[in-house]
Amino acid sequence: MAESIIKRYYDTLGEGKLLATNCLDCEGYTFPPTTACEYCGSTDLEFIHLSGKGKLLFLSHGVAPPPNARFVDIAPYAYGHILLEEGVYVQGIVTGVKPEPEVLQEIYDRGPALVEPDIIELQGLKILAFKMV
Amino acid sequence: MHKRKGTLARGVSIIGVGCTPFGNVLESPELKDMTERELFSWAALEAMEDAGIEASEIDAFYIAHCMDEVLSHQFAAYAMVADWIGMRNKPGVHFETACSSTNTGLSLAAMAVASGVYDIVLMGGVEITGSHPQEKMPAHMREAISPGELWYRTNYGADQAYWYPGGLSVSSLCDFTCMAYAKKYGLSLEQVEEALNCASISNRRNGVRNPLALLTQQEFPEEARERGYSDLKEYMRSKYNPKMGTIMRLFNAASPVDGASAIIVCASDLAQKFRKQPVDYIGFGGATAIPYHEFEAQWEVEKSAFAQAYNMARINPYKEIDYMHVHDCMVNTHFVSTEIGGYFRPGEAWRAIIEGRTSFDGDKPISTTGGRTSMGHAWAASAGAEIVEAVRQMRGECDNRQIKPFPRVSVIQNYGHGIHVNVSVLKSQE
Ligand SMILES: [Zn+2]
Repeated sequence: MAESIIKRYYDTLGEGKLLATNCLDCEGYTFPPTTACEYCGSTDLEFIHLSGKGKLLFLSHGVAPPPNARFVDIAPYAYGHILLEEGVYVQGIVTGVKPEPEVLQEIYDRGPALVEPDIIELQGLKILAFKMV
Repeated sequence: MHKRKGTLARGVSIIGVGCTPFGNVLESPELKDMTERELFSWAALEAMEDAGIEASEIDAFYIAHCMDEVLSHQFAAYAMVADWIGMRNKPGVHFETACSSTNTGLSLAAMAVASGVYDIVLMGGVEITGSHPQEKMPAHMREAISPGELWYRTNYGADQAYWYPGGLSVSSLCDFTCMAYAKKYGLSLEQVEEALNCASISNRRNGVRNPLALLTQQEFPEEARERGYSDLKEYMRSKYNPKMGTIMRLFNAASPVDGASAIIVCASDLAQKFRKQPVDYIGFGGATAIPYHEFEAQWEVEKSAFAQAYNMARINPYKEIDYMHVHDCMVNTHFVSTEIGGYFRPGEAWRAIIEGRTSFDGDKPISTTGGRTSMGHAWAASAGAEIVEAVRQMRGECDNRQIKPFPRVSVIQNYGHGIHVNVSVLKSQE
């Protein structure tokens, strides 16, 4: 039986976990998951979970009102570029940060901060966000 | 026999170009009441006139229209225009790679000619971004669309499985790339911010001299003085140019406009019939990916497109490029993409921009149309307009924004939402 990977990703997120694939040919992680390895194109994959822990490399913010109405209540939100400890780059909302120029400049000057997942729910959808630890 | 993969089996030349003014069909007198098909026909018929060719001599056409369904309430754009450009009963195809469409389309047209199936192909694009037809009304009866709604619909082109539902902030991607650039070359954010603002100043300076750039009437120094700022740098950091993120500001981002562009390509062995000195299309490359991981200024997807194009063109980018247009819907590309594309050595572009070397009269000109910030951004039509500009620069037709000496090798790089990158290399004959 074919199974939707996208559905599985969101179901897994609902359980507090990050679904990825591990390539059995080149050992590369593909996140978010697809049907082919992003490094070598192999379809010989196994599902794994990433820790979601990593370093916040850069921090920016979105606009208000946001183009996507799902985020209207939290816009303008902080939005980060993150390197997970498994070596995967990801972008996501960063909770608990005021996206003001001085705050953003200070975070940039301080350098990479440790983050962990903060899975939030907005208008019925689980969303992978991060928080600084 | 054609021996080498990644090259053209038959030479391809550009014999005609056309481009409408870029403005707003609700407001600009030059474009008032114009519809999608009329704008496209305007550009296409102008290209035919430029080539000295009749529609009956053209074998096929390609039309790009990115927001046809989600904004213009129409699909089947090929049928929409066939009658209007005199090409009834000929092959016509609609295609899109979003905002790189008419760069990609030039490659498609060239491949159709290089295959030997066609000798002459017309390729063009059209977009109306500021308005849409009133419900159930013909397209000249329009209503304005808000910027929020425009961007919401445009973001249908972003990954709808993961990235966009996860809160993707497109302007933040500019910030990340700028921060990665600053880190890599030991710059402060203020230095990168200055490079961004100087790129916008250069674009405006070029755009004011481009009669097709309707939205641009005044250079920044003049605008600053009118608003009471004697210091341009201070004006570019004032309330008139608010931050959209950590670094990027309003004037660093594209202004949506309406317009159309068209280009006619011909087998090089037949091109002399139409033009004594056609511009040759010597290389191109395209690449696509969802670039979740690229904001460390790695840009593997972009490197791939440039490499394919230079491999086909057999040029050394560090030595041979006289003019480069980069996709500047966010002007960080003036230093990021020009370095990936070998127009500058790594880490050198930001300073060249601040020194004013990238304006039309500098030694390293970029985006003499005015770029997407000052000619404006008409989604599927803009890449073609940028190629039209390169051709006109190479022919020496650009009046008070003419690059001197006329460029002999030009490179045009574009992004399409998603992302798709297409790179085209043009060369004028001796
Ligand atoms: Zn692999």
